[in-house]
Amino acid sequence: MVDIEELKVSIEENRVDIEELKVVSMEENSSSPNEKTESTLFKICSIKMSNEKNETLWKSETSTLNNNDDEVIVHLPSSILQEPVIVREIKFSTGSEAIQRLQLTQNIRLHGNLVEQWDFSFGFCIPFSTNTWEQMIIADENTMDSSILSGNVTIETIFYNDVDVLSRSVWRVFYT
Amino acid sequence: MGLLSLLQKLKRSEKEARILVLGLDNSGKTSILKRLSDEEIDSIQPTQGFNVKSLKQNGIALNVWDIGGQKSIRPYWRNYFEATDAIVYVIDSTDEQRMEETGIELDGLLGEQKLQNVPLLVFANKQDLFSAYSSEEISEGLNLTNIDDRPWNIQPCSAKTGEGIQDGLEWIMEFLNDV
Ligand SMILES: Nc1nc2c(ncn2[C@@H]2O[C@H](COP(=O)(O)OP(=O)(O)OP(=O)(O)O)[C@@H](O)[C@H]2O)c(=O)[nH]1
Ligand SMILES: [Mg+2]
Repeated sequence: MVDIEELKVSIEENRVDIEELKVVSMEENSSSPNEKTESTLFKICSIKMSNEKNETLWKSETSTLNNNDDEVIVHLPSSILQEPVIVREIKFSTGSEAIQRLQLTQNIRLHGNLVEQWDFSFGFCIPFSTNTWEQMIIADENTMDSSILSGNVTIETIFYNDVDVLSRSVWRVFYT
Repeated sequence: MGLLSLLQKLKRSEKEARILVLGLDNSGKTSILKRLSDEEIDSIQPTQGFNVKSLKQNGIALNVWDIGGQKSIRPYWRNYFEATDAIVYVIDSTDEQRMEETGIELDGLLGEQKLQNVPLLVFANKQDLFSAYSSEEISEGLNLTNIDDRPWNIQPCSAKTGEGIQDGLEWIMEFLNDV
């Protein structure tokens, strides 16, 4: 008799194989200009942080966005750590192709150790669209002192379409 | 006033609630959401995609999705229906010329399988303007009273003065609660 559980597992495994094949075949094609447009045209336009009273605390300079591999140094006002609520707005635009499954992951590391991870699933994005994500962050009771954090915190921001990385940036944060 | 005070009223077993804000272009969707958090509403551009507002407290998350209403964008609305807990439909109460068009779009939404039984709040926006139709007139004109497959409500409001916005959203929040 066929063990149904085993069958399920083997179907699952095959499915994974197919997924992997897809990724591989896309990578192989990535030299063709059409395949590249999607990732090259996805762009973070701006990042802004404000407090509850809508006072802007910090706004990104273009040089800190879309760097992909290099770590970038960012100076944030230490008052950010005292605000009970921070509203962070990320604006991003898409290229000529629709994005089916946009995902965002942010890894916050202190001395290289992951201390917090934020994920958000946007799903579909319209071609040639400009979109914003505004996240209201309610501070923990016990925030650490800026002198402990300054220079030791990195924020890695990765946008994915399913498994493909569209944009990655790493900030090293100094509080001033 | 604000999303945070709305979130604090939310009592549900599901960890996330999703509100979808739709309506014709220029109806005031983005303005209403900005007003709700006391943001500037004078320099708002037409939405060329979506604006999401997210907040989370005590393990419950609220995501409000405002999608552009231009004719070229409307065919994409369906991509955002999945897992919607409430629809907010915004009408420019002064736009007599497009009252029929907005009614047709709303009917289309009410017929969508994925939005079946999803509670509906209609905002009759721009009530600060003299030429605005009242919510009763709009309700009658668009046959809203025939809706019988879901909880629904129409709320007169103005993104300009702020009137009615919190009330409308508080009504919606009651239907997001399940405990
Ligand atoms: N007088 C008045 N004007 C309003 C009101 N709400 C919005 N407006 C104006 O109407 C115009 C359109 O507002 P938006 O908030 O951009 O409309 P929208 O529904 O988001 O439009 P799309 O993003 O194109 O779908 C803007 O010029 C607003 O200032 C209101 O309550 N009263
Ligand atoms: Mg808009």
